[in-house]
Amino acid sequence: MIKVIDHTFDPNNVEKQDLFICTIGFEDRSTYLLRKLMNKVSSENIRVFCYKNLVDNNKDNNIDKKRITIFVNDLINKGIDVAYVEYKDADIVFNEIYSFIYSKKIGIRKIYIDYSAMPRTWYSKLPLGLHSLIEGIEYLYVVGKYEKGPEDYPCAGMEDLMPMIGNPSLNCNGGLHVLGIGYDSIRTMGIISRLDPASYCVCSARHSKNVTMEKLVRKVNKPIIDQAMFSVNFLMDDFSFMVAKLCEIAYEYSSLYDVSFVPDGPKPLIMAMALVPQIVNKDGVVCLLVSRNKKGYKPVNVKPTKDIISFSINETN
Amino acid sequence: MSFSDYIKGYEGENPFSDIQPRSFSDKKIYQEFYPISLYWTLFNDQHEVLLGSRGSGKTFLLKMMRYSMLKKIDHPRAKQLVDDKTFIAMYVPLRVEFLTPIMCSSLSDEDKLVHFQEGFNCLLCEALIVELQSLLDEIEDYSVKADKEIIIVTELEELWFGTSSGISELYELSDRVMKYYSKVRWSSVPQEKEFSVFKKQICFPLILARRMLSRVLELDNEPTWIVCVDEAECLSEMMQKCINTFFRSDSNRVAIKLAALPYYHVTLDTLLEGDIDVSDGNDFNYRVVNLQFDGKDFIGLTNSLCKHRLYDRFSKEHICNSVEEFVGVIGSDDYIDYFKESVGAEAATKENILIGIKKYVSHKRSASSEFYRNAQKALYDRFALSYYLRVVRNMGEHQGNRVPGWYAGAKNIRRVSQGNPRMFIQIMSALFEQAKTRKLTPKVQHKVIFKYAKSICEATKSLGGEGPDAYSNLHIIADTLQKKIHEGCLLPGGNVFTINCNSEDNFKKALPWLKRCIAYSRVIVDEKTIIRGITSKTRFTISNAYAIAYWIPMHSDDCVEIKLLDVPSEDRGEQKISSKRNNRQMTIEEVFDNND
Repeated sequence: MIKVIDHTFDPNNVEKQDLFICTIGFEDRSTYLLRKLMNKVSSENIRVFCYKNLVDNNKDNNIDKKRITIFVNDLINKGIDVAYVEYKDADIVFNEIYSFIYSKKIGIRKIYIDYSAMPRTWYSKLPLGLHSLIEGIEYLYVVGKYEKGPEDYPCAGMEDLMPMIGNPSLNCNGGLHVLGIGYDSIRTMGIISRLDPASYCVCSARHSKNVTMEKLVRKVNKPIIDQAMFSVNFLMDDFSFMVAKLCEIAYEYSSLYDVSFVPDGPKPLIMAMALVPQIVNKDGVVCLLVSRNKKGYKPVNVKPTKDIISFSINETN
Repeated sequence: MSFSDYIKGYEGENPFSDIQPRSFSDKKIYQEFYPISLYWTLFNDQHEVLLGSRGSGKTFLLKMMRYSMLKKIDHPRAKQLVDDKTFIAMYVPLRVEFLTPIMCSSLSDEDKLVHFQEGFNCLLCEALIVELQSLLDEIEDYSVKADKEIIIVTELEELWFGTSSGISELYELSDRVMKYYSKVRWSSVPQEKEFSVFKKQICFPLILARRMLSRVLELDNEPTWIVCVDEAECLSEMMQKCINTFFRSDSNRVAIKLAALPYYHVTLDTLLEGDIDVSDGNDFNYRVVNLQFDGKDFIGLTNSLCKHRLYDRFSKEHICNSVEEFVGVIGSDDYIDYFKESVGAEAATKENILIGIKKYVSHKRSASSEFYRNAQKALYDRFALSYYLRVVRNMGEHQGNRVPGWYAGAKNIRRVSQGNPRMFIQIMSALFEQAKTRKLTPKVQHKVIFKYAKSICEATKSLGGEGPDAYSNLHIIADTLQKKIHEGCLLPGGNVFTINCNSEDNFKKALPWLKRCIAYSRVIVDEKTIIRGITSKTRFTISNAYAIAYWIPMHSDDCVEIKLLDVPSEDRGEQKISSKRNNRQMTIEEVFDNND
């Protein structure tokens, strides 16, 4: 049986022989932990992925490519391995991470994977995918400083659906869609218009210190919430409870219909929803991942807070 | 007194809150079903592709074609179809969850095709089993029924699985199909050495079984087995070619009815060698499901929905037979009646309207109107609606926020619904909620309808990948049409337009968002355009929801050519409507909110 365990992550407890894996994105928070740990962990124990489009020569007024390039070069000079990848390289990244851990697993103490800047197609499969290799990997998420309201985080909308987690069933009696919601109400409305769900419920998540976020999320998503069967709000720092509750929804409703999780909102909520079909392991309980619509999307540099959400997956008998 | 007056203080559930037929039980489906004229014509032995915008009723039509549901319709034609058993239909929904594992795997197209056929045939077998149960349930003699069931189950198991495991009931056969389906590894190459009837062409298990079924069920004539395939817009091009290939082949008394959004049936190619494709009118027929908002079918359907949904809640005390009874009727429910309601009887006399029109038309027209033999025809009929809109809109924006009672009444409810049953239920839900706490006066109805129309405009942003383009372009179009009515001299106007994209390239770029708008009832085109495609000469009608939100006349007196700039939506950013109020730019949200 799979068990999700919450951890309190303290960078001071990280040691030289630990492994650290992360991805550099356009947000400052993507490099927050890397900057903190790169002088603690041996450089050969660090694996960094960087998006190709952040360091190429194409002009982008919204991203400080020069700053990122300088930082990446600095990492390379320090002997840290940086792999240039594209958003769509989920399989390549997984295999790289797998190989990296496999090659190092003897003698290491802890493994940390910072998924703060990874796309959902990468991180959603890591916990259960790497679990067979080694237990106890800690998955870290740096909580962002969202100082402004939803209107300042321009909507991405949805482009299309991506690979699904879990197996469908032949049940044709409608279905329940469990939608994650966040500031991007346009994306959620796009999902609803695309999937045309028979019925749906909505889930949102905030950090326990961010009291206003829930109110704002409810405000921008009001028309969506009004039409939902029910809504659930989580504290993302209680990650294990979030997963347990979502699994409960899956168990309860899967006896009647198929349950499709369509995650969105903060990454820990997305991660939790993606884990559910893998934990419940029942035909008809699936997770549909949604790709971003790039039109009208302007990336916003989210700064890090000091709050880190950490969990691991263990197997119990 | 209108029916909605009885709702005040009602604390129960809103009977219009259920909008999604996929979540409806079979009982609810047949209780609510209203057979539009298209429905009966679908019982034929042709392959057909049903095109209809989201919420147009495709799912309802297909679900109600099932033999098990047809039996429940209290209509002489339904009884005839059931007695004759010349058509036996089953329902096969192709959900995103069903198709995504196949489409998103990294397998070759050939392997994906095999998996698609496998999955489709499993769905089909499940659907067939449901209808077989319904056919068997008609046999009164229990032992005869049991015998036939055993024969059918044994024979089907042998045909489909090549083995016999001793099962004797249809539910056990259904379990066996489900177990087979659950064992398929969608991301793995199909094992060639594992023979399976399910892996062969779509509908093969049915074709294999049909003669045996006719024989065992003692059907006088072998029926046409109709396979109603729903949500086909989720299909990839390869999967559509697979279905087209079936269209092209010998039907073997199996006809497919495929429901999809307009422009989502993207190819006429098949998988056959030699570039063989299918053609509309020969191998299959296109049928358009969209209803006209003022057509007999939609009027009948909306009245029936209204009556049925309210009957469940209020039957003991009151009965509501129509939308008109629900909201009440002002005069003859015409524009002039609501104009009078908004501005008062004095301002709404014909004489005063003519005076008003003359004030707004050009000086030349106003002067020459003195010499018109028939001023009514020349001025009144032509300009009245534009005049009403201008006056009523001004009321709301420039006269201390007076809310007009203009967009009200059953006709406007049907207009804003655009002939779309789902939109109708949504607006009725909003009206019902209001009626719980206040009387549905024309002003209250106006607020609800106006707000609903605005929400439709806003939701355009989220129509998939083309949403942002659709949203910003429709704003330009609606704004242009609005300005024609509300700025400068009064002109006859309408909601019809053509698009000038300046170049073939720009026209091609515009096609995706235009198609999306049509699929989601933001833009209306004629049947021919839905079937044949959009050209640079196509006449479009902006939806009534947009017309209401932008105060545009909902008719086609005039056609405006609109030039679209080739500006990507991300550079246009949020569109801002200029407003003279407070001498500052207001966002579209603020304008709409202030209009409340």
